[in-house]
Amino acid sequence: MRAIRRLATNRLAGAGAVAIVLIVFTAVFAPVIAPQDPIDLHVRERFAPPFSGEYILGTDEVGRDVLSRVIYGSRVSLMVAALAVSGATLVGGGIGVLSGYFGGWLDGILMRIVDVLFAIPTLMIALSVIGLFGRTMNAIIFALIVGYSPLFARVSYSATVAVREQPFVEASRALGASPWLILRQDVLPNIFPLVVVQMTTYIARAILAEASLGFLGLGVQPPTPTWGAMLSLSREYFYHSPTLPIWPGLAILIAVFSFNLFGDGLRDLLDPRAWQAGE
Amino acid sequence: MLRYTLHRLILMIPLLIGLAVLVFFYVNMLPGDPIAGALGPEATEEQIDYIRHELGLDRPILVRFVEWVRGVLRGDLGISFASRTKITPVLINRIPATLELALGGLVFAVGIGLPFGFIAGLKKNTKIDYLFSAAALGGLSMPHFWLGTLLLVFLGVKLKIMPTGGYVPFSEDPKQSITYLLMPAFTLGINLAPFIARMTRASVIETMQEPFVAFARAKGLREKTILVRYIIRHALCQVVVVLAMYAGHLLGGSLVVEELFLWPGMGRLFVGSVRGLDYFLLQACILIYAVLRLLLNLLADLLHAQLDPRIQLK
Amino acid sequence: MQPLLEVEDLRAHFFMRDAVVKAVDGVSFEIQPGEIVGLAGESGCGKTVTTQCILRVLPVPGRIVSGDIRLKRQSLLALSKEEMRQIRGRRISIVLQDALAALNPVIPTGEQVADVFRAHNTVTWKEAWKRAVDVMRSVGIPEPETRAKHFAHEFSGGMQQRTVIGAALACGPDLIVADEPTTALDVTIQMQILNLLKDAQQKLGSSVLYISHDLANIARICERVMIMYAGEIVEIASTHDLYHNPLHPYTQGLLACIPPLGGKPSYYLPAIPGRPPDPLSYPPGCRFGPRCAEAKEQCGFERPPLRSVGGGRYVRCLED
Repeated sequence: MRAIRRLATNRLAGAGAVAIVLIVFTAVFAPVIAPQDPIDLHVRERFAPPFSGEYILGTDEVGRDVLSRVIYGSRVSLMVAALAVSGATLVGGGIGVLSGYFGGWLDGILMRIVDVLFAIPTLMIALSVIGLFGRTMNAIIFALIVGYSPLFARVSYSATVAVREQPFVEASRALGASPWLILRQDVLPNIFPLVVVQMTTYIARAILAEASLGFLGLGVQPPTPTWGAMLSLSREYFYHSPTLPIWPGLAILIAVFSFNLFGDGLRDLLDPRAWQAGE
Repeated sequence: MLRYTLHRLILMIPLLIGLAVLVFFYVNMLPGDPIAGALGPEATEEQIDYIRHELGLDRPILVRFVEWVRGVLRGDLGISFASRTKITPVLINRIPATLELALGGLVFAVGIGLPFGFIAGLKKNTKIDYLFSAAALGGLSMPHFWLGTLLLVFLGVKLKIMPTGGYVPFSEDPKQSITYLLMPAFTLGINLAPFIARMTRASVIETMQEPFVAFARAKGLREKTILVRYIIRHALCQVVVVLAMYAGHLLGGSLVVEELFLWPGMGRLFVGSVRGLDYFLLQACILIYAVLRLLLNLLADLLHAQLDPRIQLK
Repeated sequence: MQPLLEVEDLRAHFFMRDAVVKAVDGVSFEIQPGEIVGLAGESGCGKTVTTQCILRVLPVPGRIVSGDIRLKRQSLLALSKEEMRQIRGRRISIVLQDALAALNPVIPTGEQVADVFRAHNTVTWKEAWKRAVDVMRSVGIPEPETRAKHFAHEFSGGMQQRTVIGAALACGPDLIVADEPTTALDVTIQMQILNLLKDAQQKLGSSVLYISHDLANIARICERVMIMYAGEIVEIASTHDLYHNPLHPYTQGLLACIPPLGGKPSYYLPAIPGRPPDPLSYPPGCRFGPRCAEAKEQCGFERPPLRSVGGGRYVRCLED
């Protein structure tokens, strides 16, 4: 409760949160909100300009309603982002915490692997996974999990190591608590805020990544609408309908911006609040 | 300095080994049969086996690994599955284009990000700061290929001011080369600029709070002097250090930009290899990109050591 | 002889989000030309803020609300920003406690001394550099030609402080404000620094406002001492008078806290009971009252003024 009240006082995080709620709402209730079926073809009315009539944002090259497709596109983006980041947090975070806490040879090997993975650009990792596993949504989610895990591993690793050195952890150890208990009660609650902020930032990145993949044609395949693919296609049909590129990109921008805003606000909240007086 | 460099290079070796192992085994040990996939559903068993034997894919994996490493050390990255030509010359051919793009992107990123970051930091918490910070957040959140697409279609196709794709190497014709480079480099740079702006801003703010700035004021130095020599110099030091690391960021972004602008660089080669399931090419590209990234990080560290007088080199 | 510096009923408050901190609340004193005056008091009593007021470098939530500060009869508070800038470093300069923090880590030390010179004189780089090297030599930095090119972290603590003092002396100031310059240094180095300040007085004729909570060091170089408590000056006296015959109960308490050399070790080190008042809510009446062993009922609601008791001595106490 207190956390929610603090959220409300920070306007940035609040605005971001509101936006996120709206987006999630849109995604979840897409079938209800969208005026048309996103894969319905109205070929005779293709390339309809926006704000003209029945189709608020116009239609694409085969006559599908752009607005509906944008609305439905949010489903793919959000689902991929949410699942990918959750997965990366569990896998990467788990590795990082375990390595950080137990140290030893496990630490050495795992963190070396993480270091090596860091050398490869994330998008490349994702693309290669897709290349090898196919272009399904699952593959994309898996690809992003693999791509983002190293980062979560690093973050949780350094956070865990920092916490591990704290006196209260030593105290717990001295009292004879089992490592798992310490992890659960001392380590996790303390690295939690950091991890949450990272998660929000990475959801934003994941949305961008999914869009990039879609743009390259290596994302979720048609006819499922995805923002990236819509953007890519709009290039070809630009002459017929110059407004086509605007909407999917705008959607991506709004979604990513909201998450970033929220993440920033969250980070401000969780940071030392000593900067209160006299700012 | 030289010793430090050598030291770091030596440290890189286990990393490179790990990289090679990871890349190779990752690409080659996954389920699925690339050959069957590439040849299509009509291929017969014999055809598949024949090709497999020809490419040496039926030998034990460790043997293949050793051979591959041997080849890499010799400079031979293997043979492209799809085109049956040697990979190395093709790849090398493409490197200048990607480097040009990356450099151009860096120039834009720094050119835009640095001044914005400075001003935002110096005018902390004023309207300008908020405006710039909001713009930075917007820039971060925007898919750069969206901006690229919009630029491409409006400037390139509609208004026809800019070329819509193609490439001229710098060495051939600098002016033409830059014309083709402008939009792609800008698109790539916009990707990175907000990060640089934010970092610069933070660095400036932190520097301004340092006691030596207050002391400089107490010494009666002119504001301009304090600004330029004390604040900016110090903040710049911190920023330059991280720049080379962010250049690695650029390498990732270049993949999409190259596709968008049909830029003949390594990025397009890589994407092509993913599309065509050309595994040898895939692993070669990943290896090269990773090595480049590591080298850039090393450069960043060396730059840091050089610029910051506080670092003691062993 | 006109006083060099006059501080008259200075009040500086910090306006925080929900409270006002009265860091300096009615401080008045004078410093004569060529004299070394000490300002002593506990941490948080307002010593540093006073120096910030004199140089007009008070950080943002703070503001001088009333009072005046005059240098050679000219009000400093009335000066424009540019005029004040010219005073800083040239006629009034400052030496800080943490010398390493005061120096920019990415600029050679010599440049930082030369900067002061360049800020107040039109000279070329070369001349300023030469002058900086001379200054560094005069404060006792060995091999100044090479040392000046080094960076702050390459110096020892003592040399860093010498550099800072060098920067302070570069333009031959009338007043040097030294804010705990020796607190972070070894005892032997402390003596050297104190001697440097004394040199400045003798050779340059500068006055020194020496701020410290170390009464021993104050006794070593100061001719007069002022004791500060809770934003006010509570006693002013010559060094001799203060240490041999302290009048204000706080001063007496402070001096009693110094363990005597020789003599029997006692079980407990004497200390002044209680703590300094919260700057957000000073007690009515005498601010030292709650801790004073000789407090009377009056002290609880009547604020004592700083009154003269003859011979240049001032005490802020209702008692005689």
